[in-house]
Amino acid sequence: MADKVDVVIVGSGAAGSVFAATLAEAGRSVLVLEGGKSRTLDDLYSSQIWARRLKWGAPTVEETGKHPVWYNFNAGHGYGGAAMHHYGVWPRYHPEDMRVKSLYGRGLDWPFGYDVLRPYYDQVQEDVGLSGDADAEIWRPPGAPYPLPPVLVNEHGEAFAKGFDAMGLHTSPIPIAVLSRPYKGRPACIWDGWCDAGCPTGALANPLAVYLPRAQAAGARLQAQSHVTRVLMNAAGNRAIGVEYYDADGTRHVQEAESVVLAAFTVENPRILLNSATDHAPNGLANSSGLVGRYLLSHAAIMVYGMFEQVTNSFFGTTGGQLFNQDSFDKFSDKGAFGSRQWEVALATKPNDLLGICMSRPDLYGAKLHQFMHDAARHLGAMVGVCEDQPSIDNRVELSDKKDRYGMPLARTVYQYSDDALKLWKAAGEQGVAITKAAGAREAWHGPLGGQHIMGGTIMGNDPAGSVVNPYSQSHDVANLFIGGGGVFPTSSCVNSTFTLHATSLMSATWLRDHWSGIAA
Amino acid sequence: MNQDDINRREFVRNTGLGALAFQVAGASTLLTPREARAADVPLGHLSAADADLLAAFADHLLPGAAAAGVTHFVDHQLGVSPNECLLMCKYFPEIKAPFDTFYSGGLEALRVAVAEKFKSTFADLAAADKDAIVDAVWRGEVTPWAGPPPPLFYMMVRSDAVDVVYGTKDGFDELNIPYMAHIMPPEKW
Repeated sequence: MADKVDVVIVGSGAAGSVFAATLAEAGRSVLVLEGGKSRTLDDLYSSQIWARRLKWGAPTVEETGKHPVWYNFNAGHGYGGAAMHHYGVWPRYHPEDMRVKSLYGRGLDWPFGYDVLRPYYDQVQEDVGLSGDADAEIWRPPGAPYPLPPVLVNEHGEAFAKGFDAMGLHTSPIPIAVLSRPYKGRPACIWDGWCDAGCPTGALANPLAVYLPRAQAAGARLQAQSHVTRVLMNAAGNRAIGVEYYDADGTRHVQEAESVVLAAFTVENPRILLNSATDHAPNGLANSSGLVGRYLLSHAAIMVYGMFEQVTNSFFGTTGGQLFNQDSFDKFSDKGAFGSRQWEVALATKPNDLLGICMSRPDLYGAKLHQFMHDAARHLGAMVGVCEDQPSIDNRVELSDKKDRYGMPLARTVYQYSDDALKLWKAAGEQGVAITKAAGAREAWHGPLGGQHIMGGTIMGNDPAGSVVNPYSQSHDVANLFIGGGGVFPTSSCVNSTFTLHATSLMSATWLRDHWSGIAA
Repeated sequence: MNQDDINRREFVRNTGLGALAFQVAGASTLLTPREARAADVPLGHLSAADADLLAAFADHLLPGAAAAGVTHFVDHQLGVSPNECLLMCKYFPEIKAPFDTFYSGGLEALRVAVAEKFKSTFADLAAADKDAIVDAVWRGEVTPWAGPPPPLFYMMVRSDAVDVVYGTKDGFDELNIPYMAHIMPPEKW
């Protein structure tokens, strides 16, 4: 058995890296257990083919229900987790997103308001260096100005901007965790468009570029290929004593710790909790509410494309886009549908892969596909609409009857978008095509329903009967067990989740740091 | 690291799709899929019949895919763990690891469908008949079909074809767009 540590963190992604840096810098002994392989920035090849190594592959997550959440595409594996291939689009939740039930009688409320989270947003954007224009982003909630000016806008963004203008819609520079100028020892982006393949320069704020180096400099240890299967409890069943994990050879280990942080992504966290059932917690750990795995959330996403007469050079820029629009953020913007939606405009697009040129027209093959590839390489435009979904207790993570190589039950997701989300998606498709036509594209079309971002499953709240963790992401049932990541979000908004999960993780880690004496045995 | 360090910085190990370790005469040798095909490197997972059908089908979806080594690319990746696998099929919730069964099931279903309708093999069909069967597969209207969802099979093979033809520096050159790598993938796999 390894030496006991103050904090064992399960997962080395966005949330785990924030916890690790915050607690290690406070003098805590920290061990981060990562199920996947170790990785350095120099392993990040600029290739949409090799980028697939960053995505999840196994153990299998069984996706059921009417709509998949696209787990493998959204999740990550290895040091840095999903944030190694995230695009860095970092808007904030709006205040109304966190009071949906109080304001509208729909969905759920967060256990605190935007003002509570705001300083953590501000701190994270200072840490990582966000680029944007707070004044031009007219929908933006209160917050410190962006520390860096906006990212590049080239022919691609300019082409779409004309369409938004023609429709009476506003665009702003996209708020993005990509450096437009050198910042804190990291270089500025050179707009090569390889964000999805992982940014080896550190211009995009992935965990290997920002928080993991800080954590390691403060003494935190990272350990790869350590597949955590259970949180272990004391005999009384009221305190976590560590975790059980298996190494690459299949050998079982126990890591003792004063506190445990599960930051293994939205689906793996409930899987581990449900697999950690004891006599005291027969339905799974931290599950006195019966809500572990419940209220799984995703965004309904729609890709919109245009073929322009003018050159767009869409291979250039950032994968997350150049411009931004939240004119439809008001929950009642689209008649007959409740919820928010937004546009991320002028996405850097490479020839191959799921979001590449080729998949924008999957119906084409043969000589027509060659012709299309040549035309689109210089003239395609792409933007994505992201739509809010409403929390449903029926959308969930549960355990499968099938098991992985360690004997741990696989995770199964059950998901169906709400009618509201599907109406928002339909409205976005119609509006997106209209914008693209108004921009002068000779052809405009949209893709199928896609799933983007995965949240919920271990939601936060003040009521132990109605939530899994408290406002500090601390288990209601087990005082020294914390959850990191988008799993604690009770609502999805329509905004990309990574900025907010950094903020909630920082809030939780700061609270744990400041209340350590009450947590440690 | 500063801006000057990374302007067009390329940790050039080689150029292209990436080196795969193929077994040649008992030794592990790094080759591109195109080189592996040209050298007739033995396949490790696909049967000869499946490899021929995959090459013919992929080459109809994107002419040039067979010569670019699509069968050796797919065959090699079927031997890689799901987390390290470079095939796009790993994204799709309908396709479970290991991925061999997806390809073998799809190819067998295609073989049977072509034989039933045309009393022939896919490779021997006239171009118009190939189009007819491809259209039916893409639309999910092909019968009989006892394999993975036909549109999904079409999209995955099509993606494999695009990967080897256009997903490389050579492919970018063909499209007349710059590759602009930070770190070039190894050429030979």
